[in-house]
Amino acid sequence: MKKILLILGMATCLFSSFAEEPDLDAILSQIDIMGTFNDNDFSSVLTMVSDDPEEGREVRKVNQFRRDKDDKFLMLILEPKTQRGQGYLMIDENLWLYDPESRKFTHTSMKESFEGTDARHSDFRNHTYKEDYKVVSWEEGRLGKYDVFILNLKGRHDEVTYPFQKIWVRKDNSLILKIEDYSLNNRHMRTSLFPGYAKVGDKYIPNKMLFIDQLVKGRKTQITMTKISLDKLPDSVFTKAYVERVNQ
Amino acid sequence: MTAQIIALRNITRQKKRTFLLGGAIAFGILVITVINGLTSGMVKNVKDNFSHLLAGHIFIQGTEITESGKTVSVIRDDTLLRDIIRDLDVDDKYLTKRSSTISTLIFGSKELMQRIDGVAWSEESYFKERLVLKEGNIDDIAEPNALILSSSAAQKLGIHVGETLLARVRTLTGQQNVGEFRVIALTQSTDIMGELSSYVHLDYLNSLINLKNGEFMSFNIYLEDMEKMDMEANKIFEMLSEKAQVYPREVEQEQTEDDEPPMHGMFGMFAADDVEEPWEGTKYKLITLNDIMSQVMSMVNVLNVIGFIVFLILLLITMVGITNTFRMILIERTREIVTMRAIGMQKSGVRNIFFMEAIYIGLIGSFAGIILAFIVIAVLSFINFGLDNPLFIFLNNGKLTLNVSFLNIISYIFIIGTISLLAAFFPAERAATLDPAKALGTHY
Repeated sequence: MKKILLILGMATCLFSSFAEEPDLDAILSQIDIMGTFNDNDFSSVLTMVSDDPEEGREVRKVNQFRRDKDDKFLMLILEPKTQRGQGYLMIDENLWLYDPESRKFTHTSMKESFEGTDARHSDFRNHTYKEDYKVVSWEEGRLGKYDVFILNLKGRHDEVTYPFQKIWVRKDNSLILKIEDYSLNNRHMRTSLFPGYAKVGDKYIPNKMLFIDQLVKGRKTQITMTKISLDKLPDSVFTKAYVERVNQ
Repeated sequence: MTAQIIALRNITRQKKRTFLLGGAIAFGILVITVINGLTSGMVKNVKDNFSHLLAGHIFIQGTEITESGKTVSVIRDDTLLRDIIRDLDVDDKYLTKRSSTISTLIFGSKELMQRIDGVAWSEESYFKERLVLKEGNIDDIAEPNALILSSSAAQKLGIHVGETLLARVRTLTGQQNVGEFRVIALTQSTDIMGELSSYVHLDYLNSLINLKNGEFMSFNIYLEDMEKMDMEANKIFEMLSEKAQVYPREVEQEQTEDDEPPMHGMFGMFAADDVEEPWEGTKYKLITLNDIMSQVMSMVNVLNVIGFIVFLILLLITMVGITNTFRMILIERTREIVTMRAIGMQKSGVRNIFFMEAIYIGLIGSFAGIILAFIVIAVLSFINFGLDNPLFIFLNNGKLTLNVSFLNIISYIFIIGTISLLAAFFPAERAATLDPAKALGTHY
């Protein structure tokens, strides 16, 4: 009996080792393709609800404009009124913060958090998983009603915001459902959930996002995306002059 | 002597007039003394605050280019710098090696932005001695993840000695990392900089910001005499530029809108910058406290100029007042003057009476102004603006420091004396040259 069990066990191991490994690079490429609008401009209105155990709840409305083919984006704050006109403009690989009070642009980083929320500036640009991460291990799993690949990623270079990530990707269409972000010393820092996607043209964009801080209990930011459009935007939108002009 | 007695009697005879003229002078002296004392105290406080925060007067940062073409602050070997300081016989009190970062400390649901300084405790025994502890034991610093926090920061976080907190930090290239520290001691916050700073082991901080053991970001020189700062910095820069690649010093003075602040790395606000002209190895950047202070100094100079202009305007008004007053005095006292001249007083005697009156008014006004200024300064020095004040950098533990220069006061008194004499000159000259016969004839 023991021999039979041993043979069965070995056979199972052998079989599983021959199980077809998915093309992991292709999955990362597909994620990038799904979240990148190379043929169109993209605009939407984001409603951000941030909960902080000390500060309470804050609601922001932000106008988002993207031109992925040129790696440009603009985030203009609409609400609250005290921050209205403040803008984040990404041009020529530089991210600028515009302060309407001082009427000055200052340099900031994609790795910084957006307005002190749990979202980072880099969360609002197109994905570059293929370029930034490599898959170090993978497994199959299930998240809610979806079959997923669970990929453990490691940054290819030291410029990525989170050196390690664990992502849950739907098997059928490569949409990311969940991300866990880890620090350089492998501490879980943030969980991002993407419960809803909107189909825009032939692409999918998460229209509901939830970012949960894993270091500060009770801190989270929920983002809802509305007024999604692929209409062409004037070139002038992605300029400092435009950001200044909308404030006049 | 007679002229002095008569002059004294004259100014006490017209008390109201003397009070108004002296009051105008006193106000001028009050304004300029308080402004100068305030600006000079501000400069001293800013210098003290920064030298404590940055642990030095001269700072040398190393910059390298990463594989992706960005710059990061790092010095991997300090032999060259130590050799230069030894060869030049720099008048240093001590040398420090520091890595610094701005981090968010997290305890439960509370967060607080803090500057964390990595200190090589084994090499900086003087620093241990200088820290004023309110609670805890400095010997516990031997623990690798030990953290010394200011008591006010601990209060804001609600943390006690012995408890552990998390720190959200960024590596040199901006990646996210998390440190875990045990609070071993709380410092008594004596100034705002002490309140903003926390101290940890250099090696542990290096591991968090992705530097290796023994590396650091800034090599700091604390001088015996702060006044020698520029001289010593120039010597070091000259020798350093012969032996290594350096950033030109004058570039640090100018900053455009698009530039990062010249000393952003000094404050732990390092970020990977793009490079236009790449280089190999370490390129050094030398900054002094005076460079960092240049913008503050410009502001102080503007304030001093404004104060001096106000002082001059007040003096001009006073001078016109003195001239008019003496012209009236001349008319009022014509009988008295010509009588004195008729009984033998010389022209110079009459002139001296006028001059002495002007000098006395000037001196009385000056001394009254100085006394008032000292009263105002004493009152201002007692006001506690608190450490949360946006002007904290100019304050000493929340209070204004007023540094009064006696040399300045003496020069103002001299200026007032001269102007008073000038104002009295023409009326005095007219009084001295009055013809007794004609003048008496006019009156009788």
